[in-house]
Amino acid sequence: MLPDLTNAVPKVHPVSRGIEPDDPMNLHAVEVDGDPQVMLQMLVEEYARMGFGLDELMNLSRQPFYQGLHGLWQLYGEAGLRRQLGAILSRCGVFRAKVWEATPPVSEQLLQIGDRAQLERNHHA
Amino acid sequence: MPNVNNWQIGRPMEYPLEERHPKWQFAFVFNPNRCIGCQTCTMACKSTWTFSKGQELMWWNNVESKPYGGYPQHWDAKLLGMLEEANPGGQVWNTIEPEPALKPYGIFQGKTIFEAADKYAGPDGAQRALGYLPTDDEWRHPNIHEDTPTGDLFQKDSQYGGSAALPEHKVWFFHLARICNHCTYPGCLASCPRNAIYKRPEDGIVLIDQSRCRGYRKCVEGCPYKKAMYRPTTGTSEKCIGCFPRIEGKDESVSPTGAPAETRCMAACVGKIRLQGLVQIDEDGQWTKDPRNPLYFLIRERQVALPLYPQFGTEPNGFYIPPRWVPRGYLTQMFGPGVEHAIEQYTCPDRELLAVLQLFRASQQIIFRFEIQPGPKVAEIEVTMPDGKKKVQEIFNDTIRGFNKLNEEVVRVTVEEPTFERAPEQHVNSI
Repeated sequence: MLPDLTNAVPKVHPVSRGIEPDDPMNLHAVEVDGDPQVMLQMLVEEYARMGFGLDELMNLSRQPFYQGLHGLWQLYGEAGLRRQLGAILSRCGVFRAKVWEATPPVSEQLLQIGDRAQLERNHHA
Repeated sequence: MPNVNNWQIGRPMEYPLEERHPKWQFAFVFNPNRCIGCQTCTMACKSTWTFSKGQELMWWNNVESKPYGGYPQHWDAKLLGMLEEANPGGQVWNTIEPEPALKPYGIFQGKTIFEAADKYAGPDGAQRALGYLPTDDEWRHPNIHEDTPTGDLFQKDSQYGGSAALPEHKVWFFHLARICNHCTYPGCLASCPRNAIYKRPEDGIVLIDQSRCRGYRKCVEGCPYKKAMYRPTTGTSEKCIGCFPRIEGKDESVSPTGAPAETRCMAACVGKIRLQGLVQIDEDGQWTKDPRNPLYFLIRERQVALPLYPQFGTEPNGFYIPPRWVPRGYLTQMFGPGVEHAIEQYTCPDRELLAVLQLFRASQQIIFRFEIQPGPKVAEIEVTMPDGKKKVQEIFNDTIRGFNKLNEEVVRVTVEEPTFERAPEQHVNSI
Protein backbone atom coordinates (compact mmCIF):
# COMPACT_ATOMS: atom_id res chain seq x y z
CA MET A 1 0.00 0.00 0.00
CA LEU A 2 1.37 3.42 -0.97
CA PRO A 3 1.80 5.98 1.83
CA ASP A 4 -0.50 8.97 1.95
CA LEU A 5 1.57 11.88 0.57
CA THR A 6 -1.07 14.59 0.70
CA ASN A 7 0.50 16.23 3.77
CA ALA A 8 4.16 15.57 2.90
CA VAL A 9 6.54 18.48 2.50
CA PRO A 10 7.99 18.50 -1.02
CA LYS A 11 11.71 17.72 -1.08
CA VAL A 12 13.62 20.83 -2.17
CA HIS A 13 17.40 20.90 -1.98
CA PRO A 14 18.70 23.77 0.25
CA VAL A 15 20.84 25.13 -2.61
CA SER A 16 17.79 25.92 -4.67
CA ARG A 17 15.73 27.38 -1.82
CA GLY A 18 15.31 31.09 -1.33
CA ILE A 19 16.75 33.24 1.43
CA GLU A 20 15.61 32.40 4.93
CA PRO A 21 16.49 35.39 7.12
CA ASP A 22 15.94 33.52 10.36
CA ASP A 23 18.53 30.85 9.53
CA PRO A 24 21.52 31.52 11.84
CA MET A 25 23.82 29.18 9.93
CA ASN A 26 23.54 30.98 6.61
CA LEU A 27 24.98 34.41 7.25
CA HIS A 28 25.78 34.71 3.54
CA ALA A 29 22.10 34.65 2.77
CA VAL A 30 21.06 37.55 4.97
CA GLU A 31 19.84 40.42 2.85
CA VAL A 32 21.29 43.83 3.64
CA ASP A 33 19.68 46.91 2.18
CA GLY A 34 21.46 48.44 -0.77
CA ASP A 35 20.95 49.71 -4.29
CA PRO A 36 22.36 47.70 -7.21
CA GLN A 37 22.14 50.81 -9.38
CA VAL A 38 24.60 52.61 -7.09
CA MET A 39 26.89 49.60 -7.09
CA LEU A 40 26.77 49.46 -10.89
CA GLN A 41 27.63 53.11 -11.30
CA MET A 42 30.48 53.04 -8.77
CA LEU A 43 31.97 49.82 -10.14
CA VAL A 44 31.89 51.07 -13.71
CA GLU A 45 33.40 54.43 -12.78
CA GLU A 46 36.15 52.61 -10.94
CA TYR A 47 36.93 50.33 -13.88
CA ALA A 48 36.84 53.37 -16.17
CA ARG A 49 39.46 55.04 -13.98
CA MET A 50 41.66 52.05 -14.67
CA GLY A 51 41.12 52.29 -18.42
CA PHE A 52 38.41 49.67 -19.03
CA GLY A 53 36.07 50.41 -21.95
CA LEU A 54 32.62 49.09 -22.82
CA ASP A 55 33.62 45.87 -24.57
CA GLU A 56 36.17 44.95 -21.93
CA LEU A 57 33.59 45.49 -19.19
CA MET A 58 31.00 43.39 -21.01
CA ASN A 59 33.54 40.58 -21.33
CA LEU A 60 34.32 40.79 -17.61
CA SER A 61 30.67 40.82 -16.65
CA ARG A 62 30.01 37.50 -18.39
CA GLN A 63 32.63 35.78 -16.21
CA PRO A 64 31.09 34.37 -13.02
CA PHE A 65 34.36 34.80 -11.14
CA TYR A 66 34.07 38.59 -11.36
CA GLN A 67 31.27 38.40 -8.86
CA GLY A 68 30.37 42.06 -8.68
CA LEU A 69 29.91 42.74 -12.37
CA HIS A 70 28.56 39.27 -13.04
CA GLY A 71 25.83 39.73 -10.45
CA LEU A 72 24.79 42.94 -12.18
CA TRP A 73 24.90 41.19 -15.56
CA GLN A 74 22.52 38.60 -14.21
CA LEU A 75 20.28 41.28 -12.77
CA TYR A 76 20.05 43.50 -15.86
CA GLY A 77 20.72 41.00 -18.66
CA GLU A 78 23.17 41.36 -21.56
CA ALA A 79 21.36 44.11 -23.44
CA GLY A 80 20.27 46.00 -20.36
CA LEU A 81 23.73 46.03 -18.83
CA ARG A 82 25.33 47.08 -22.13
CA ARG A 83 22.93 50.00 -22.37
CA GLN A 84 23.61 51.11 -18.80
CA LEU A 85 27.37 50.71 -19.10
CA GLY A 86 27.37 52.78 -22.27
CA ALA A 87 25.39 55.54 -20.60
CA ILE A 88 27.75 55.67 -17.61
CA LEU A 89 30.92 55.52 -19.71
CA SER A 90 29.70 58.29 -22.00
CA ARG A 91 29.44 60.50 -18.91
CA CYS A 92 32.55 59.59 -16.94
CA GLY A 93 34.97 58.77 -19.78
CA VAL A 94 37.68 56.12 -19.77
CA PHE A 95 40.89 57.25 -18.10
CA ARG A 96 44.29 56.77 -19.66
CA ALA A 97 47.71 56.88 -18.02
CA LYS A 98 51.22 56.30 -19.30
CA VAL A 99 53.64 54.52 -16.97
CA TRP A 100 57.44 54.65 -17.08
CA GLU A 101 59.43 52.52 -14.68
CA ALA A 102 63.10 53.21 -13.97
CA THR A 103 64.18 49.72 -13.02
CA PRO A 104 61.80 47.13 -14.39
CA PRO A 105 61.99 44.05 -12.21
CA VAL A 106 64.35 41.37 -13.43
CA SER A 107 62.38 38.34 -14.50
CA GLU A 108 62.80 35.62 -11.93
CA GLN A 109 64.78 32.58 -13.00
CA LEU A 110 63.40 29.10 -12.63
CA LEU A 111 65.36 27.18 -10.04
CA GLN A 112 65.72 23.46 -9.66
CA ILE A 113 64.01 22.74 -6.36
CA GLY A 114 65.90 19.52 -5.70
CA ASP A 115 65.25 17.41 -2.63
CA ARG A 116 61.82 18.48 -1.43
CA ALA A 117 62.16 16.57 1.84
CA GLN A 118 65.39 18.43 2.61
CA LEU A 119 63.71 21.76 1.84
CA GLU A 120 60.89 20.89 4.22
CA ARG A 121 63.40 20.02 6.95
CA ASN A 122 65.23 23.30 6.42
CA HIS A 123 61.99 25.23 6.58
CA HIS A 124 60.98 23.56 9.81
CA ALA A 125 64.42 23.96 11.38
CA MET B 1 47.81 50.24 33.15
CA PRO B 2 49.90 52.93 31.43
CA ASN B 3 48.19 55.50 29.24
CA VAL B 4 49.29 55.74 25.62
CA ASN B 5 48.21 58.18 22.94
CA ASN B 6 46.09 56.78 20.09
CA TRP B 7 45.50 59.35 17.33
CA GLN B 8 42.96 57.16 15.57
CA ILE B 9 40.54 57.29 18.49
CA GLY B 10 41.54 60.85 19.34
CA ARG B 11 42.45 60.28 22.98
CA PRO B 12 44.84 58.55 25.36
CA MET B 13 43.92 54.97 26.18
CA GLU B 14 44.97 52.24 28.55
CA TYR B 15 47.53 49.75 27.20
CA PRO B 16 49.22 47.00 29.23
CA LEU B 17 52.74 48.08 28.20
CA GLU B 18 54.75 51.32 28.22
CA GLU B 19 54.61 53.46 25.09
CA ARG B 20 57.52 52.92 22.67
CA HIS B 21 57.72 53.73 19.00
CA PRO B 22 59.80 52.68 16.01
CA LYS B 23 61.67 55.16 13.77
CA TRP B 24 59.67 54.12 10.73
CA GLN B 25 56.34 52.37 10.57
CA PHE B 26 55.22 49.81 8.01
CA ALA B 27 51.88 51.02 6.64
CA PHE B 28 49.66 50.42 3.63
CA VAL B 29 46.58 51.63 1.81
CA PHE B 30 44.14 49.20 0.19
CA ASN B 31 41.40 50.33 -2.16
CA PRO B 32 38.41 47.93 -1.93
CA ASN B 33 36.69 49.96 -4.66
CA ARG B 34 39.00 48.18 -7.07
CA CYS B 35 39.43 44.74 -5.54
CA ILE B 36 38.05 41.92 -7.69
CA GLY B 37 38.79 39.19 -5.17
CA CYS B 38 41.15 37.31 -7.47
CA GLN B 39 43.21 36.11 -4.46
CA THR B 40 46.51 36.65 -6.30
CA CYS B 41 47.83 38.38 -3.17
CA THR B 42 46.67 35.46 -1.06
CA MET B 43 48.49 32.96 -3.22
CA ALA B 44 51.63 35.10 -3.48
CA CYS B 45 51.84 35.08 0.32
CA LYS B 46 50.91 31.42 0.61
CA SER B 47 53.51 30.30 -1.90
CA THR B 48 56.19 32.38 -0.22
CA TRP B 49 55.67 31.83 3.49
CA THR B 50 52.96 29.32 4.45
CA PHE B 51 53.31 26.32 2.15
CA SER B 52 54.61 23.82 4.68
CA LYS B 53 53.06 21.16 6.87
CA GLY B 54 50.90 22.56 9.63
CA GLN B 55 50.29 25.76 7.70
CA GLU B 56 47.53 24.39 5.50
CA LEU B 57 44.80 26.53 7.07
CA MET B 58 47.07 29.52 7.61
CA TRP B 59 46.43 32.52 5.36
CA TRP B 60 48.49 35.52 6.46
CA ASN B 61 46.91 37.39 3.59
CA ASN B 62 43.26 36.75 2.87
CA VAL B 63 40.51 38.41 0.87
CA GLU B 64 37.04 38.06 2.30
CA SER B 65 33.82 39.31 0.78
CA LYS B 66 31.88 41.53 3.11
CA PRO B 67 29.37 41.57 4.66
CA TYR B 68 29.15 37.79 4.39
CA GLY B 69 32.61 36.28 4.48
CA GLY B 70 35.33 36.30 7.08
CA TYR B 71 38.54 34.53 7.99
CA PRO B 72 38.13 33.20 10.58
CA GLN B 73 34.39 33.22 10.14
CA HIS B 74 32.56 36.10 11.86
CA TRP B 75 35.79 37.43 13.41
CA ASP B 76 34.66 41.04 13.41
CA ALA B 77 31.01 40.49 14.27
CA LYS B 78 32.01 38.36 17.24
CA LEU B 79 34.39 40.93 18.70
CA LEU B 80 32.02 43.81 18.05
CA GLY B 81 29.42 41.80 19.94
CA MET B 82 31.78 41.24 22.87
CA LEU B 83 32.62 44.94 23.05
CA GLU B 84 28.96 45.86 22.96
CA GLU B 85 28.31 43.39 25.74
CA ALA B 86 31.13 44.91 27.81
CA ASN B 87 29.88 48.46 27.25
CA PRO B 88 26.22 48.34 26.20
CA GLY B 89 25.24 51.33 24.09
CA GLY B 90 28.51 53.12 24.85
CA GLN B 91 30.57 52.29 21.77
CA VAL B 92 30.08 55.68 20.12
CA TRP B 93 32.15 58.46 18.55
CA ASN B 94 32.10 62.14 19.37
CA THR B 95 32.67 63.82 16.02
CA ILE B 96 31.90 67.39 17.03
CA GLU B 97 35.42 68.82 17.04
CA PRO B 98 37.86 66.76 14.99
CA GLU B 99 41.44 68.06 14.69
CA PRO B 100 43.49 66.89 11.69
CA ALA B 101 46.68 66.14 13.63
CA LEU B 102 45.51 64.83 16.99
CA LYS B 103 41.99 63.51 16.46
CA PRO B 104 41.19 63.44 12.74
CA TYR B 105 38.05 61.33 13.15
CA GLY B 106 36.89 62.80 16.46
CA ILE B 107 37.01 61.03 19.82
CA PHE B 108 35.94 57.45 20.40
CA GLN B 109 34.06 57.47 23.68
CA GLY B 110 33.60 53.73 24.03
CA LYS B 111 35.96 51.07 25.26
CA THR B 112 38.86 49.61 23.32
CA ILE B 113 39.73 45.93 23.59
CA PHE B 114 42.30 46.82 26.27
CA GLU B 115 39.90 48.92 28.31
CA ALA B 116 37.10 46.36 28.05
CA ALA B 117 39.32 43.45 29.07
CA ASP B 118 39.03 44.09 32.82
CA LYS B 119 35.30 43.43 32.65
CA TYR B 120 35.75 40.11 30.93
CA ALA B 121 37.50 36.93 31.95
CA GLY B 122 38.10 34.27 29.31
CA PRO B 123 38.11 30.54 29.96
CA ASP B 124 41.68 30.82 31.31
CA GLY B 125 41.07 33.86 33.49
CA ALA B 126 41.59 37.57 32.96
CA GLN B 127 42.66 38.88 29.58
CA ARG B 128 44.94 41.78 28.70
CA ALA B 129 43.01 42.40 25.50
CA LEU B 130 39.40 41.44 25.00
CA GLY B 131 39.28 38.58 22.56
CA TYR B 132 38.35 34.99 21.84
CA LEU B 133 39.86 31.89 20.31
CA PRO B 134 38.17 30.98 17.04
CA THR B 135 37.16 27.37 16.66
CA ASP B 136 38.79 25.03 14.17
CA ASP B 137 35.69 25.21 12.02
CA GLU B 138 35.95 28.97 11.80
CA TRP B 139 39.55 28.76 10.57
CA ARG B 140 38.79 26.05 8.05
CA HIS B 141 37.79 28.14 5.03
CA PRO B 142 39.42 31.41 4.03
CA ASN B 143 36.18 32.74 2.58
CA ILE B 144 33.45 30.19 3.17
CA HIS B 145 30.30 30.41 1.07
CA GLU B 146 31.99 33.01 -1.11
CA ASP B 147 34.82 31.37 -3.04
CA THR B 148 33.58 27.97 -1.98
CA PRO B 149 31.37 26.14 -4.46
CA THR B 150 27.91 25.65 -3.09
CA GLY B 151 26.26 23.48 -5.70
CA ASP B 152 25.37 19.82 -5.43
CA LEU B 153 26.44 16.81 -7.40
CA PHE B 154 23.20 16.62 -9.36
CA GLN B 155 23.51 20.09 -10.90
CA LYS B 156 24.66 18.89 -14.31
CA ASP B 157 24.19 22.01 -16.41
CA SER B 158 27.01 24.05 -14.90
CA GLN B 159 29.95 24.86 -17.17
CA TYR B 160 32.34 24.26 -14.25
CA GLY B 161 32.12 20.51 -13.96
CA GLY B 162 28.52 20.14 -12.98
CA SER B 163 29.09 20.07 -9.25
CA ALA B 164 29.82 23.64 -8.35
CA ALA B 165 27.94 26.91 -8.29
CA LEU B 166 29.31 30.19 -7.03
CA PRO B 167 27.15 32.19 -4.66
CA GLU B 168 25.20 35.08 -6.09
CA HIS B 169 24.83 38.32 -4.23
CA LYS B 170 21.45 39.90 -4.60
CA VAL B 171 22.32 43.42 -3.56
CA TRP B 172 25.81 44.58 -2.65
CA PHE B 173 29.10 43.30 -1.34
CA PHE B 174 32.77 44.16 -1.53
CA HIS B 175 36.08 42.39 -1.21
CA LEU B 176 38.12 43.18 1.88
CA ALA B 177 41.78 42.24 1.56
CA ARG B 178 43.50 41.79 4.90
CA ILE B 179 46.99 41.21 6.25
CA CYS B 180 48.47 41.88 9.68
CA ASN B 181 48.08 45.60 10.40
CA HIS B 182 51.41 45.76 12.28
CA CYS B 183 49.54 47.81 14.84
CA THR B 184 51.12 50.56 16.88
CA TYR B 185 49.63 48.98 20.03
CA PRO B 186 49.30 45.33 19.02
CA GLY B 187 46.75 43.19 20.82
CA CYS B 188 48.87 40.10 20.14
CA LEU B 189 51.95 41.68 21.70
CA ALA B 190 50.05 42.84 24.76
CA SER B 191 48.52 39.39 25.28
CA CYS B 192 51.67 37.29 25.04
CA PRO B 193 52.60 35.92 28.48
CA ARG B 194 56.10 35.06 27.25
CA ASN B 195 57.04 38.46 25.78
CA ALA B 196 57.75 36.56 22.59
CA ILE B 197 56.23 39.25 20.35
CA TYR B 198 58.02 42.46 19.51
CA LYS B 199 57.89 45.44 17.17
CA ARG B 200 61.02 46.04 15.16
CA PRO B 201 62.44 49.49 15.97
CA GLU B 202 63.54 50.07 12.38
CA ASP B 203 60.20 49.56 10.62
CA GLY B 204 57.52 48.73 13.20
CA ILE B 205 56.91 45.23 11.80
CA VAL B 206 55.44 42.97 14.50
CA LEU B 207 57.15 39.58 14.78
CA ILE B 208 56.83 36.46 16.92
CA ASP B 209 60.13 35.18 18.28
CA GLN B 210 59.80 31.49 17.48
CA SER B 211 62.39 30.52 20.08
CA ARG B 212 60.40 32.14 22.91
CA CYS B 213 56.89 31.21 21.75
CA ARG B 214 55.39 28.28 23.64
CA GLY B 215 52.16 28.13 21.67
CA TYR B 216 49.79 29.34 24.40
CA ARG B 217 47.74 31.04 21.69
CA LYS B 218 47.15 34.17 23.76
CA CYS B 219 48.15 36.19 20.69
CA VAL B 220 45.52 34.40 18.63
CA GLU B 221 43.00 35.33 21.30
CA GLY B 222 44.21 38.91 21.73
CA CYS B 223 44.62 39.99 18.10
CA PRO B 224 41.29 41.60 17.21
CA TYR B 225 41.94 41.06 13.49
CA LYS B 226 42.79 37.38 14.09
CA LYS B 227 46.05 37.59 12.20
CA ALA B 228 48.14 35.50 14.59
CA MET B 229 47.67 31.81 13.86
CA TYR B 230 48.65 28.60 15.60
CA ARG B 231 50.72 25.97 13.83
CA PRO B 232 50.23 22.50 15.28
CA THR B 233 53.34 20.93 13.74
CA THR B 234 55.72 23.31 15.52
CA GLY B 235 53.53 24.06 18.52
CA THR B 236 54.04 27.78 18.05
CA SER B 237 52.05 30.69 16.66
CA GLU B 238 53.01 32.44 13.46
CA LYS B 239 51.96 35.60 11.70
CA CYS B 240 52.68 37.89 8.75
CA ILE B 241 56.30 39.03 8.84
CA GLY B 242 55.74 41.98 6.52
CA CYS B 243 58.14 40.32 4.02
CA PHE B 244 60.89 42.06 5.99
CA PRO B 245 63.74 40.96 3.71
CA ARG B 246 62.08 42.98 0.94
CA ILE B 247 61.46 45.92 3.28
CA GLU B 248 65.17 45.80 4.08
CA GLY B 249 65.95 46.02 0.35
CA LYS B 250 67.57 42.60 0.23
CA ASP B 251 65.63 41.24 -2.76
CA GLU B 252 68.03 42.05 -5.57
CA SER B 253 65.54 41.21 -8.30
CA VAL B 254 63.45 44.26 -7.40
CA SER B 255 65.94 46.36 -5.42
CA PRO B 256 69.22 46.36 -7.37
CA THR B 257 70.44 49.35 -5.33
CA GLY B 258 69.23 48.04 -1.97
CA ALA B 259 66.19 50.33 -1.63
CA PRO B 260 63.17 48.96 0.28
CA ALA B 261 60.65 47.05 -1.82
CA GLU B 262 56.97 46.33 -1.27
CA THR B 263 55.86 42.99 0.16
CA ARG B 264 54.95 39.99 -2.02
CA CYS B 265 51.21 40.43 -1.58
CA MET B 266 51.42 44.10 -2.57
CA ALA B 267 53.65 43.48 -5.57
CA ALA B 268 51.41 40.69 -6.86
CA CYS B 269 48.18 42.71 -6.86
CA VAL B 270 46.80 42.70 -10.39
CA GLY B 271 43.86 44.92 -9.50
CA LYS B 272 46.19 47.77 -8.48
CA ILE B 273 44.43 48.21 -5.17
CA ARG B 274 47.54 48.33 -2.97
CA LEU B 275 50.12 50.92 -2.04
CA GLN B 276 52.58 50.13 0.73
CA GLY B 277 55.31 52.13 2.37
CA LEU B 278 57.02 53.35 5.48
CA VAL B 279 56.09 56.49 7.38
CA GLN B 280 58.41 58.31 9.74
CA ILE B 281 57.47 58.35 13.43
CA ASP B 282 58.35 61.08 15.95
CA GLU B 283 59.67 60.30 19.40
CA ASP B 284 56.20 60.94 20.82
CA GLY B 285 54.64 58.41 18.44
CA GLN B 286 53.09 60.90 16.03
CA TRP B 287 53.55 60.59 12.29
CA THR B 288 56.22 63.07 11.18
CA LYS B 289 54.64 65.63 8.89
CA ASP B 290 55.64 64.59 5.38
CA PRO B 291 53.00 65.54 2.81
CA ARG B 292 55.18 64.36 -0.09
CA ASN B 293 55.09 60.79 1.22
CA PRO B 294 52.17 59.15 -0.66
CA LEU B 295 50.93 57.32 2.44
CA TYR B 296 51.06 60.41 4.62
CA PHE B 297 49.29 62.33 1.88
CA LEU B 298 46.47 59.82 1.49
CA ILE B 299 45.98 59.00 5.19
CA ARG B 300 46.81 62.13 7.17
CA GLU B 301 46.69 64.96 4.66
CA ARG B 302 43.59 64.04 2.62
CA GLN B 303 42.13 61.42 4.97
CA VAL B 304 40.91 59.44 1.99
CA ALA B 305 42.10 56.14 3.52
CA LEU B 306 40.83 55.03 6.93
CA PRO B 307 41.90 52.47 9.54
CA LEU B 308 40.04 49.16 9.85
CA TYR B 309 37.95 49.11 13.03
CA PRO B 310 39.84 51.95 14.77
CA GLN B 311 37.57 51.49 17.80
CA PHE B 312 39.41 48.27 18.68
CA GLY B 313 42.20 50.59 19.87
CA THR B 314 45.30 48.90 18.48
CA GLU B 315 46.03 51.80 16.09
CA PRO B 316 46.28 49.55 13.02
CA ASN B 317 48.60 50.68 10.23
CA GLY B 318 46.50 49.28 7.42
CA PHE B 319 44.16 51.82 5.83
CA TYR B 320 41.30 51.46 3.38
CA ILE B 321 39.57 53.72 0.88
CA PRO B 322 35.92 52.92 1.71
CA PRO B 323 33.94 51.27 -1.12
CA ARG B 324 31.53 53.90 -2.36
CA TRP B 325 28.43 51.76 -2.96
CA VAL B 326 28.16 50.32 0.53
CA PRO B 327 25.56 51.62 3.01
CA ARG B 328 27.15 54.27 5.19
CA GLY B 329 26.15 52.72 8.52
CA TYR B 330 28.05 49.58 7.70
CA LEU B 331 31.09 51.53 6.54
CA THR B 332 31.10 53.79 9.60
CA GLN B 333 31.10 50.79 11.88
CA MET B 334 34.02 49.33 9.93
CA PHE B 335 36.16 52.39 9.22
CA GLY B 336 35.01 54.98 11.76
CA PRO B 337 33.35 58.35 11.26
CA GLY B 338 35.74 59.56 8.54
CA VAL B 339 33.80 57.65 5.89
CA GLU B 340 31.74 60.51 4.40
CA HIS B 341 34.77 62.75 4.03
CA ALA B 342 36.85 59.97 2.48
CA ILE B 343 34.19 59.05 -0.05
CA GLU B 344 33.65 62.67 -0.99
CA GLN B 345 37.38 63.11 -1.62
CA TYR B 346 37.63 59.92 -3.62
CA THR B 347 34.50 60.46 -5.72
CA CYS B 348 35.84 63.67 -7.20
CA PRO B 349 39.62 63.71 -6.69
CA ASP B 350 41.43 66.97 -7.38
CA ARG B 351 44.50 66.95 -9.63
CA GLU B 352 46.96 66.19 -6.81
CA LEU B 353 44.93 63.31 -5.38
CA LEU B 354 44.26 61.90 -8.86
CA ALA B 355 47.99 61.93 -9.54
CA VAL B 356 48.86 60.19 -6.26
CA LEU B 357 46.21 57.52 -6.91
CA GLN B 358 48.20 56.60 -10.04
CA LEU B 359 51.05 55.37 -7.84
CA PHE B 360 49.11 52.28 -6.74
CA ARG B 361 51.12 49.32 -8.00
CA ALA B 362 53.19 51.48 -10.31
CA SER B 363 56.47 50.26 -8.81
CA GLN B 364 57.69 47.33 -6.74
CA GLN B 365 60.01 49.62 -4.81
CA ILE B 366 58.54 51.60 -1.93
CA ILE B 367 57.91 55.20 -2.89
CA PHE B 368 59.07 57.55 -0.13
CA ARG B 369 58.48 60.82 -1.95
CA PHE B 370 56.49 62.03 -4.92
CA GLU B 371 56.67 65.10 -7.11
CA ILE B 372 54.04 66.34 -9.53
CA GLN B 373 54.95 68.02 -12.80
CA PRO B 374 51.90 70.04 -13.80
CA GLY B 375 50.47 69.75 -17.29
CA PRO B 376 47.63 71.47 -19.17
CA LYS B 377 43.95 70.77 -18.50
CA VAL B 378 42.74 68.07 -20.88
CA ALA B 379 39.15 67.38 -19.82
CA GLU B 380 36.26 68.21 -17.55
CA ILE B 381 33.95 65.47 -16.28
CA GLU B 382 30.67 65.85 -14.47
CA VAL B 383 30.67 63.78 -11.29
CA THR B 384 27.69 62.90 -9.10
CA MET B 385 28.65 63.35 -5.47
CA PRO B 386 27.34 61.10 -2.67
CA ASP B 387 24.67 63.69 -1.77
CA GLY B 388 23.40 63.68 -5.37
CA LYS B 389 24.85 67.06 -6.28
CA LYS B 390 26.84 67.45 -9.48
CA LYS B 391 30.46 68.55 -9.45
CA VAL B 392 32.95 69.12 -12.24
CA GLN B 393 36.18 67.18 -12.06
CA GLU B 394 39.08 68.70 -13.95
CA ILE B 395 41.61 66.33 -15.51
CA PHE B 396 45.13 67.62 -16.06
CA ASN B 397 47.92 66.13 -18.12
CA ASP B 398 50.03 65.91 -14.93
CA THR B 399 52.97 63.60 -14.40
CA ILE B 400 53.69 62.15 -10.98
CA ARG B 401 57.22 60.99 -10.23
CA GLY B 402 57.95 58.53 -7.43
CA PHE B 403 61.30 58.31 -5.61
CA ASN B 404 62.66 55.49 -3.46
CA LYS B 405 64.45 55.78 -0.11
CA LEU B 406 67.76 56.50 -1.87
CA ASN B 407 66.06 59.39 -3.69
CA GLU B 408 66.30 57.55 -7.02
CA GLU B 409 63.39 58.06 -9.39
CA VAL B 410 61.68 54.71 -9.78
CA VAL B 411 58.46 55.49 -11.58
CA ARG B 412 56.70 58.19 -13.58
CA VAL B 413 53.00 58.10 -14.43
CA THR B 414 51.31 60.59 -16.72
CA VAL B 415 47.56 61.18 -16.62
CA GLU B 416 46.29 61.48 -20.19
CA GLU B 417 43.13 62.75 -21.79
CA PRO B 418 40.22 60.38 -21.12
CA THR B 419 38.36 58.84 -24.03
CA PHE B 420 34.59 59.00 -24.19
CA GLU B 421 32.53 56.20 -25.68
CA ARG B 422 29.24 56.99 -27.27
CA ALA B 423 26.29 55.34 -25.57
CA PRO B 424 24.97 52.45 -27.70
CA GLU B 425 21.51 53.97 -28.15
CA GLN B 426 22.97 57.13 -29.65
CA HIS B 427 23.07 57.40 -33.43
CA VAL B 428 26.61 57.29 -34.82
CA ASN B 429 26.33 60.86 -36.02
CA SER B 430 24.53 62.23 -32.99
CA ILE B 431 26.25 64.89 -30.91
